[in-house]
Amino acid sequence: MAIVHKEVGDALLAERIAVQARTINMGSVTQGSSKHKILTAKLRGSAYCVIEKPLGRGPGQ
Amino acid sequence: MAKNQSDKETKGLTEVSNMSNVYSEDLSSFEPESFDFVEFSSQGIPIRVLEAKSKVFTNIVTLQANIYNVAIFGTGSYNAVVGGYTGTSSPSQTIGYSSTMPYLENYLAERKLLEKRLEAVDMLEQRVGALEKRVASLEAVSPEEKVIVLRELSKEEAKKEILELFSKQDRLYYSDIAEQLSLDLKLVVDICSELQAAGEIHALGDSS
Repeated sequence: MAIVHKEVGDALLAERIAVQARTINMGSVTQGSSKHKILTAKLRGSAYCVIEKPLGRGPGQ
Repeated sequence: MAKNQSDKETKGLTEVSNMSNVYSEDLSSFEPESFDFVEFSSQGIPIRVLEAKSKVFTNIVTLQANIYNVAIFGTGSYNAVVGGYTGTSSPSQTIGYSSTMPYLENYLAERKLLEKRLEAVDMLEQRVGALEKRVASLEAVSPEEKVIVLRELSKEEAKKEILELFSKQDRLYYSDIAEQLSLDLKLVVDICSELQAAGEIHALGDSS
């Protein structure tokens, strides 16, 4: 079974994360390192996230 | 010639009827006790009445010219015309002019108001155009909203459908499965974990 983290401060770090929630509020667009842009969002109501493609791996899953 | 004069008088009287204040001012100089000494024209009209009509008619023509100049050339030309007009006017013309001044002032005020409103309309049209372009660009960038109604399947049925999907495609993300089968993402992850534990599927990163 996949490990589910439910505590405040638990974080996910991955190349690709699938999410679902009742509402998803898109936040601001900020300039990240190099020319990458960073988007922010807030998931509210039964939010669920799962890593689909880990960092530094191949195609994933 | 006499007919033309008569036509001018008729026209003048018609226009004068719309400006009763001017007409009454010119006729106010008549005194009832001196009326017997008034000379009459060949048509039986008092000469002074004809003169008064002529002056009023001249005033109206000048006034129309002023209004035309104001309409065509704006306030600057209007002031120039008024300056010339005041310098060459007779007392009777001055009376006619002063009585029509409020009309001109009103006309100029309305004209300025109209110009301001037209400027505001132009500005609003420009702003609406800019907003329409902005909305179009945002609509082009934002993703289309797609509503997926999740199916309520038993875990076994869902597992069967996921295996069928893997038989068609080798590589699938959790989100691909959830989207294609209209299943809850958490249910997909749980089933995939079970299938992975049973050795029926494996994560590509774990193949080594």
